[in-house]
Amino acid sequence: MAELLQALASGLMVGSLYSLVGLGIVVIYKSTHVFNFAQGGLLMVGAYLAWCFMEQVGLPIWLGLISGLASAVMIGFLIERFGMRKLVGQPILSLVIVTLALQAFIDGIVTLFWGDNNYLVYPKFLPPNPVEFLNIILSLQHIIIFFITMFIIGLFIIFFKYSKWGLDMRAVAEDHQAGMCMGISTKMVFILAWVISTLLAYIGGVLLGSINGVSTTLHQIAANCFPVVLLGGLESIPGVLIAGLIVGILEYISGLYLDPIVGASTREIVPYIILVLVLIIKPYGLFGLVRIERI
Amino acid sequence: MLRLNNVEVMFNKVILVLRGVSLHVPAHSIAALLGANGAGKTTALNAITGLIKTELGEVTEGTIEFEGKNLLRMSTEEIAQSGLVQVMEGRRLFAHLTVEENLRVGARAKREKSSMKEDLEMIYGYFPRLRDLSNATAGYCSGGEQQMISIGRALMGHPKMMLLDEPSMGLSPLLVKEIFRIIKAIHEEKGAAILLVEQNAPQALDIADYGYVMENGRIVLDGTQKDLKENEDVKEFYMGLSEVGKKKSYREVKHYRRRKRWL
Repeated sequence: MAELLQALASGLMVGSLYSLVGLGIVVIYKSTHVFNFAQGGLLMVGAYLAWCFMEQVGLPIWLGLISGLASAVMIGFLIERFGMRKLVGQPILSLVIVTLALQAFIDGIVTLFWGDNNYLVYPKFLPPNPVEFLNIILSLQHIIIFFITMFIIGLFIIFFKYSKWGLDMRAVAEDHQAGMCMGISTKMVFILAWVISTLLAYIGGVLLGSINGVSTTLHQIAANCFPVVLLGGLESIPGVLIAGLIVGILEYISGLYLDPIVGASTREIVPYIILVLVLIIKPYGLFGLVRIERI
Repeated sequence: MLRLNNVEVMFNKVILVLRGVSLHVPAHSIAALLGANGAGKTTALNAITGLIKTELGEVTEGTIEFEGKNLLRMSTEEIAQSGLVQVMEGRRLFAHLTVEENLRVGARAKREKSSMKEDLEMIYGYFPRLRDLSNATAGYCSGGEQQMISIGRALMGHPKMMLLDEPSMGLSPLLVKEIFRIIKAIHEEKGAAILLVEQNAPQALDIADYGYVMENGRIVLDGTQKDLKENEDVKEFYMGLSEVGKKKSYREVKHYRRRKRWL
């Protein structure tokens, strides 16, 4: 029983990070209908940038984090302005392929500057001491991260639901032309989407980096986020939140019960199996927007 | 107010869709643009608001001016913000947003400050049915309700001029009457100029001051409401009125085609 609770708790912690990274993909998909395969790369480059500002440049921790944040915003802006803007009006597939290229490009840049596969460690900015609660042992760091991610996701739910910009973004996501006719600047919406997305990738990268250390394997976390995003329904923010937690928990539970039976690690495949099963029953994902068709 | 001068529109650099369209809508008036399917009515509207650029089209010749400003140099959103709002064909609602959210988006084109609440009240005044639906998902509303949302959404921006693209599409005759009555009321109370694109010629000519008839990307006929209503060709081809039972000589059909025109 304690094992199960422990798995649930750890799953929630990891799942919240999946939700956060997945949210970045959802924001871009919602407003531009582009599936951003480079989210993992953005996450990795964010983690490296924060490390670079703190350790290589030698800034104090808070300043290093803020500088990293600012450069992440910059990167998002540049990607939209010089990568995606040129392709507006082209088939969506070409834009999706560009994000794949971006992923490869970022991989190369990171390897060029910071080398391959060396684990870099942040100066400690979150307390790692363990906390015991109901026979579960969790590090305080994980708990803080969980609440940070929940807070940020909550913030975005409110942003999209009630703010003027959020409404514009949802409107443009539905119909670019009609949005333009209403006087919404689609360029601003696209820039905003990419900036928000890189920002989320940066936060996710720093939080993950503070747990596992910074390395080039970080971008693989995004591979775990793809099933999360699809499970949540691609366009739904509450969907990606819940799907992230589900996948996180399932990974740990399968690790607990399936691994001894199979005799190998099942963590990586379980999310995809669940995804396939869910998509058979609900093709739009758990909370996806069902196409409204009136005949 | 809005002036098109010899506008030519080409798609994909090869397909010539508008072949020199000129029209003029004075301030505070309603003009109707009539014509059959494929005549180029919607393309004309999309040329005005710059939407053709998103469809690989471009204005290759002529000028489009709104209150003296050259619209060809402006982006669609700038045009909307300058007070010229298009209600696109097929309603084009933000289907997953609620009715009220749809209306709120419309307020983006507003130039002067006014309270969102009052504006919403104004819309609900014109379309009482929308008040009960304000939290419903727009995509699930009926066709007539959607058309009301679509017009209401444009009205939220306090436009100086509205371009209405087939507001009667897919609606029952009774609803068409209702929609046209409201359009007329909006025009009279708000003083906004309206360019009305329609297939339903009798209805459109009932409320319009001036009318243009398009065919094959050209304006083939224009005149005041009265002139057009009495014009034999318009009666026969766009209003479905002809002398029943009489033998018809096709030589007399479409006189204007044989008349030389300099538009």
